[in-house]
This record gives sequence, structure tokens and C-alpha cells, in this order.
Amino acid sequence: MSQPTVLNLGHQPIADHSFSADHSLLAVACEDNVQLYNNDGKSFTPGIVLGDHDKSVTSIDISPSGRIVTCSQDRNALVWEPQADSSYKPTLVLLRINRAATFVRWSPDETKFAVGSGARAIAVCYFEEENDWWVSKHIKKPIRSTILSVTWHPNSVLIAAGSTDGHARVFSGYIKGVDQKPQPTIWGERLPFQTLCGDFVNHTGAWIHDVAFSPSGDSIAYCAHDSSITVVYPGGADRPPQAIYSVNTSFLPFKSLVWLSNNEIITAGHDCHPYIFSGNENGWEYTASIDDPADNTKEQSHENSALALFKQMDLKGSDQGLSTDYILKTIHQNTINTIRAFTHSGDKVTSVSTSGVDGKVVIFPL
Amino acid sequence: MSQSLRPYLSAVRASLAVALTLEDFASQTVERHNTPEVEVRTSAEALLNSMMISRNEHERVLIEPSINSVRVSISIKQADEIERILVHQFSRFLTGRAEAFYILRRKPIPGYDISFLITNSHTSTMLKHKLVDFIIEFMEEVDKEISEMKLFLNARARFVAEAYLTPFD
Amino acid sequence: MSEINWRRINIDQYDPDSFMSAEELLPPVPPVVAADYANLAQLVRGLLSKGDISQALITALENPPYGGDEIVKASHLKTVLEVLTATKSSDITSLVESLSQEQQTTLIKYLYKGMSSILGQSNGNAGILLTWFQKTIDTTGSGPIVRHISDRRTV
Repeated sequence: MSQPTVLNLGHQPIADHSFSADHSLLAVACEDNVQLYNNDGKSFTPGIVLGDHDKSVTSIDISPSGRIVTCSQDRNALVWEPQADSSYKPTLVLLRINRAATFVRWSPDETKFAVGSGARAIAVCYFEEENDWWVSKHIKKPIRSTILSVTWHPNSVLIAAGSTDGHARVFSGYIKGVDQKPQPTIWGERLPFQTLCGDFVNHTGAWIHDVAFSPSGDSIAYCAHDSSITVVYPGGADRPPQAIYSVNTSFLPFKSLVWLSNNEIITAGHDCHPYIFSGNENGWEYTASIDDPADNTKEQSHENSALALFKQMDLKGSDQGLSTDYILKTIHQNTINTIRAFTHSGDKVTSVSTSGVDGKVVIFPL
Repeated sequence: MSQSLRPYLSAVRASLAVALTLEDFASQTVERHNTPEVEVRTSAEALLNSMMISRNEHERVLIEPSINSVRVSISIKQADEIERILVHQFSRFLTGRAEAFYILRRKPIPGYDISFLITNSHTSTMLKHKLVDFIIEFMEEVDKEISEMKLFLNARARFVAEAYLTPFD
Repeated sequence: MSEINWRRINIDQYDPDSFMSAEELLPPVPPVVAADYANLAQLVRGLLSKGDISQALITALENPPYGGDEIVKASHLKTVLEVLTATKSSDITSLVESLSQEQQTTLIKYLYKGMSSILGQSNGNAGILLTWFQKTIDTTGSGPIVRHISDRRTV
């Protein structure tokens, strides 16, 4: 297995990152700004800064054709169109929300994007030609708390969202005049806007940090703050789900997850390195971890005298060696905020990129 | 050091490591604000169950986690009047200089001697495991400090008493 | 009426779809009959007097009174504490290993609750609970603590 690629992008926390489809551009949400990096195949050089937001940028996504959408705690979202002179032109989005925007993702067909917010609504945005701006329709019912993540079904109509009240929900984001009539899926047949196609709660009711549709679109997975991941296989419209598998782990909670294939999921979060789960309709289990500190045998730089070590264990309840100066044995030194698929071969993801609070973007080959 | 300090501190360490799983979270009740949820307590869903770790009736730690902040309150051992005065002066000394301590809360919550408020901006600018170390170190130092001060005070009192009671020659 | 300071009223609390209260966040839990837990406490005490600590622990942790009121919860805490304090510290690790993941999480919940109650703090019980806590997380990792803080159902 080849080594992970590590990009040190300063010490500011990275809320979200996104690569363009050809990997020539990396966009990083860093405090109030979005920093672009150009990749010439060998190294990443800092490019222009998109700085129209006046509060922390919470999420960022680059569409297949290179348009960038960003959203921020200043309640706004902006779409950045690439121009001929390699600058970007911001386009207004009429979001009509009165709390922070928390999460944004393009639909796979690029005609819409969904913005999750603290205003107890998901705004589904689409372009209005005559006014040259993006307008939104709100999914409001039955959301009653902050949306932490949104994700699109491969058919670009269904949206899944996770929120702080512990519900993972599947909605229809069908917009008349923009979308083709969708094919019936296992989630439902007739899908007018705002139809609730599924609503799942863990028995603990913990926050849902991230949700994702499987590549086939026939199941969803979500990770909650109780250190679990859950995979749901729906049973068809208006019927109870065929199966729900919750895997409780002994790690710290996961913040983000990605399907590697229909039978594998990779997650990362507060434990600073990724974990892989695998399974199918008959059950799921934890299989492996990447960049595990237990496998990292790199010597610590300082020497421990037996006495100092004993003192450490006795007085501080720690067996980590001297506490004054040690670093974590993982690549990321702090929480991983986002994990995304980086390269594919066929329908399988072959590498993933992660970004974290420590200001690093890392590409892990699998 | 007494026998039960080690399990006490390791329990605090394990609980803190879990509680410090914070993220950036803008207020959902007030527009364009980003406030520590554990302090404002306006939305029930952003708060988590609190953890109390106690070594005996007098020494305990209360950890109150929420989505973007953790409040850690420590009750220091106070066996007699002198220790009570010393702890009071000590915590007053620290809270009066709270700017320099970043994570120190200016006022301890009722029933405790000193409180820390750690927010997501602290965990993102400082390393999480070092924050945990700092609090653990603080807890063990405080005990030592107080008993040292008490010894020093007694020694001084004895010296003063002797000096006054020595007959004049 | 002039007593009320209108400017200080939190008007948001009257907006029906504004806030989620703690009760609404609670996932559905079975209702609790106080008599059941009185019987359970008898059963646990019986097992304890026979010296079957392992079975007593499992019985006490199996059905925590999530849906009960404070009185039921407090009396069940007392039952659990009786089991915990009756255990020899050398047996703890093997007892914890014999529990299911769900029961280990419940155990951690009771350890935290025990340490926050007067009963758990006095008479040297705190030391016993700390030993339990340490040995439990040595076996299980931090998973049960995460589930304790994030679980809306409290014991």
C-alpha cells in the first residue's frame, strides 16, 4: 500500500474541503475565507481567496463542471462561476433562512444544491435564468432542529439529512420545471416536493453527524454521536424498513462517512484516523482501521526514565509517557471534519481525502 | 499521594477525552451568534448528559458537555477552616487573572471552587490531549499547593508565636 | 398583573414549533411500573445473599428504568449500588467482561449517577465506584462513556 499524501495548509481548522473532478483544484474552507489551491500534479500552490463571507464558512462543494458553492454561518450561500481569466464570479443565492447555513452539497446532475441550516429547514436551490440568481424552496416539516448534514441520492431528487434531534430523514427534493419525473425507487413512487420518504432514529437519540446514500441509492448509512454507524435498508414505500443495522464501537464519535462500494463504508471523526466497516443486507461489522496509532511503531523522540514513567502513571493516570511534549501517532493531530471520495475505479472508491481541525488535508490510498 | 488519586484522575481523564468532542455550532435561537451552548442552555438538543466523578464527599469534578463547549468544575478538598480560606484565596487569585488562562471561567458555578469553560475554538487552536493534560495537572498541583501553603502557614504561625513569647533578656 | 416584567419574558417559548424540549427528544421508552422494580430489587437481594454476584449484576442492569420517575430511578440506583459494593475488587474485570455491550453502557451510566449521589460519595463508596469505573473502561474503551453522554434516556 502506498503512503498517504499529507498537505499541511496552516494551523487554522478546516471546516470542509473539496477537490474538483480532475483534482487540479482544491478548495478549503478556512474560517471566513475559502482558499483555493492549484495542483500541477506535483505540488499544491495557493491560488486566489474567495472572501465574500463575513462569518465562518461551514461547507463547500465543487460541482463536476467546476462551479463552487459555499455556505457560511452568516446565513448566506454563494455560487462561484469560473471565468475565462481564472477568477471567480459570485452569484447570489436567495436562501431566505435566518440562522447559520451548516452544510451544502450539489446534486449529482448539478442543476440543484441543498443547504442545511440552523433555521430548521433545508433549502433546495435551483437557478432562475431570467433573474440570474439561485432561488430556493424550503423543506420545513417535520424538521425541528439544526440540520448537520445533507446528501443527495444518485437520481438527484431524493435528499437525506441528519440533524441534532437524532433523526436521519429522507426527503424528496423534486422541483417542478427543473427535474425530469423521477423513476420510482425503493424509497417511493410519487415524490412531490417535501415528501418524507423515511425517518430513522437511533435508540439513544444522539445527534446525526453525517448521512450518505449507498452508490446504488437503495440504502442509507449515518453516523451518530454515540460512536455508532447505522445502515438502513428500506422496505419500500410506506412499509417499515427491511433491516436496520447499528454498529456500536468503542471509539470516539465519527463526524463523516463515505461509501466505498455497496458493501463498505469508511468513517472518520474525533479519533483522528479513518475506520472501515463492511457488510450487506445481513449485517454490518467493523473490519479495519487506517493509519492506526497502534501500528505506528515510530519511536517517540524523547527518552523515558522508568521513574518518570511510573510517576506519570501514578499521578496522572496516563500511560502515554511524559506528557510535556508528545504528539499523536496518527497523521491528523486533531478531529477529522470531512472525509470524501478522491479517486474511483469502476464503482469502487480507491482513495479518500480527509480534512481536519489541525489544518491538514490527507489523501489515503486504500 | 494517597491511594485513590490515580483512579480518580484516570476517570477524569477518560471522561474529559470523550467530552472534548466538540464542533463549530452556530446558535439556533439567536441569529448570527455563536455562543457556548452549555452556558446559554437555550436548546435542549445541543446539551449532553453531565458526568460527575467524585473521590469522596468533598472532592469532585463535574463535566457538563454540549455540542460546542464543555464546562469542567472542580471542588477542591477543604478539611478545615484554614484550607477553606486558602482555597478561597487561591481561586480568587486565579479567576482574577482569567484572561491569561483562556479556558478559565471567571466565576465558578455554585457548589464548586473553580470552573473551566472549554469551547470549540479552544480545542481547534490547542491540541485536545494537551488540554486534558493541563486540567489533570492542574488538579494534582492544586492539592499539593494547598497542603504546602498550609504547612508554610503553620510554620510561620509557630515562628511568630515563639518570637512573641520569648522572654526579654 | 403589573408584577410581570413584560420585557423579560422569553417569547420564543410560546412558539409551538420553535424548541424541542428534553421530553420530545427522548426516543420511545417502555413505561415503568414501580412495583416491578420493587420485585426486581428483592430478586437481586436474594441473589446477593446466595453469593451469585454475576447473576445479580446482570439482573440489575438488564432493564434500567428509563421511563420511570425520579423515585423509581433512585431506588433502582440503590439496588445497583448494593451489588457494586458487594463485589470483591479482584472479580470486577471478569464480571465486566461477562456483560453485553448494552449492559456495560448501563453500568457506566450507573457509575456516573452513583458518583453524583450522596450515597455513592460517602462511606468510602466513591473509591469502590472509581475502581469499578477504571476496570470497566480498561475493558471496554471509551464507547460506553460516549453513549452515556449522548444517550437521551437517563437512568
